[in-house]
Amino acid sequence: MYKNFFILTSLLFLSSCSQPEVKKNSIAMHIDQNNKLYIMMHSLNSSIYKKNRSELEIDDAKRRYALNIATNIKQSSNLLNRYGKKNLKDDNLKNFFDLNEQLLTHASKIELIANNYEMEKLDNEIERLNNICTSCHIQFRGYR
Amino acid sequence: MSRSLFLLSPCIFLMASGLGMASEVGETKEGNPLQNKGVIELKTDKTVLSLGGRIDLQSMYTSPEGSFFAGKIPLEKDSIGENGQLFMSARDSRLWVKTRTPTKYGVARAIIETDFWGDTTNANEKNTNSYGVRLRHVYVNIAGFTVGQTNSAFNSTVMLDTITHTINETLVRQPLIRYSIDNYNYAYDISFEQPETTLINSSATMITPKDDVVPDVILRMRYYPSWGEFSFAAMGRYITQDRADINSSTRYLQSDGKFGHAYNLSLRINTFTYDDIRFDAQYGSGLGRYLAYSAFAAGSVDDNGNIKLQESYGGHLAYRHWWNLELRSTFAISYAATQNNLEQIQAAQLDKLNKDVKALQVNLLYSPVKNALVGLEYSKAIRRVESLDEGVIELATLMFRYEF
Repeated sequence: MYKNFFILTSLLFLSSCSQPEVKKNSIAMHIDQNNKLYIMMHSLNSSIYKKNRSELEIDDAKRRYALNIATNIKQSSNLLNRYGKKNLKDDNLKNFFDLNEQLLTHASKIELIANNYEMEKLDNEIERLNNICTSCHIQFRGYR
Repeated sequence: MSRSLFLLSPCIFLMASGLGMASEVGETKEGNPLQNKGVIELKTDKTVLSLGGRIDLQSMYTSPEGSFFAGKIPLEKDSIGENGQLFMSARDSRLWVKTRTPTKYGVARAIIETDFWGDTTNANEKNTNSYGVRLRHVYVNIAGFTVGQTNSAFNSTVMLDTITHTINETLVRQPLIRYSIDNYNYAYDISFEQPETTLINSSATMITPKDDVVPDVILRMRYYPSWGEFSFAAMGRYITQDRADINSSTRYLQSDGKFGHAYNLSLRINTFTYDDIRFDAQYGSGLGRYLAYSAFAAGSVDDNGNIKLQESYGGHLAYRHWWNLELRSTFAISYAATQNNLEQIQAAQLDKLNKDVKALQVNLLYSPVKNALVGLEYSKAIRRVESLDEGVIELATLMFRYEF
């Protein structure tokens, strides 16, 4: 009797300790990634206001943000790939994969620019990245 | 001035002669760098040279008249009857030239950066305000090595988004040799930096014996996770005097040296949307000039030449809030203090020894267009000396800045 009660109580206790598993679909995860991306882009833009930093130190900060942006885009691209395979067909799927491929290409370019410290090229490349995101959102989500 | 002309001369020559060819090695293939604003690419050595800077105007009303530096806030007994002063300055404007060159060891980067806090011999506010150029940074960075003059590795990596400096600021720029292992979300540094002993003598005057023999050694680790930024620096330094001059005719009869150590922790934690909390704390025995712009010495020296190190510490805490993408505010409090070796100081001189200082700052910064910043800040600081006299200063600062 006491043994069963102890086992039952222990099981209840242990189950209350474990977090309920939250399975996010790939679009929800993409939205999470997007929110992080906005913060990184904002940090990149405001890095020129870092106080008492030399211009090379500001470039180092920009490089760090840019590499994080590239990593984030690559992760997002993987999530979108999974979403596309599961939910889209025919021309839609082809268009979606084309845009996703462009996303990856630009993420790699940002990585290269950052590692070469070609910071003057960064703004243009991020602008291009934004355009791809916008174009994809309009086509498949219906709004920016 | 002649130095800045010297720096500009290669750019002027290149622009005049129409030189500049796109580099292929180690750079992205797409786009001609010459089409990118503000960049001239040198034909030789695949070097890209960039020129930039900032125009900065600060209008300050201080009450009473005085400085916001921790060790220079006027004491009440010295500023009786002072109402205040309006002060305008463009001296915080800057000019820099930087280069990058692809090499087999990675990208070599070099910079020379100046401001206008230099020579004041020909400067006055009556007519021309002709302030001299001052060296800030001059260094090269290649294969993980940084060689030249720049920010000390002991400096806090998380600085506050304020117009005036924080009262406990750890800001030292000096000649150094540093090696860094820098991944994009963590980094380790070891740095050998210019030593400079500062000591308080028995008449409470800060002396610099110029007898240093060992560089200040700093180990630092930096971490850049998605939640913010973290760094920790540890420093070892040898504080020494070798029969230093007491005055023009006498010297200490013996030499002495002590090993000092100090630590600095910086932290930024992202909170809601773009907001963050910033914190730093530093402590050390022999910390001295690294804290609060030399408000405190590393230690004291008695009349026989014996050195005794003193403990100093400080910290700040701030919250930065973005009202929207163009408008932001910071609220900050800061504190710095030291434990002077009072037994070695003449009692009549105690009002020359800083004991502690605290400050608060609150601001509103507006960035209406890219690279431009307009800011308004209120700052207040209180300095206390060992005689327990106090001084309070309040500042209202209006700033216009444009980065080019």
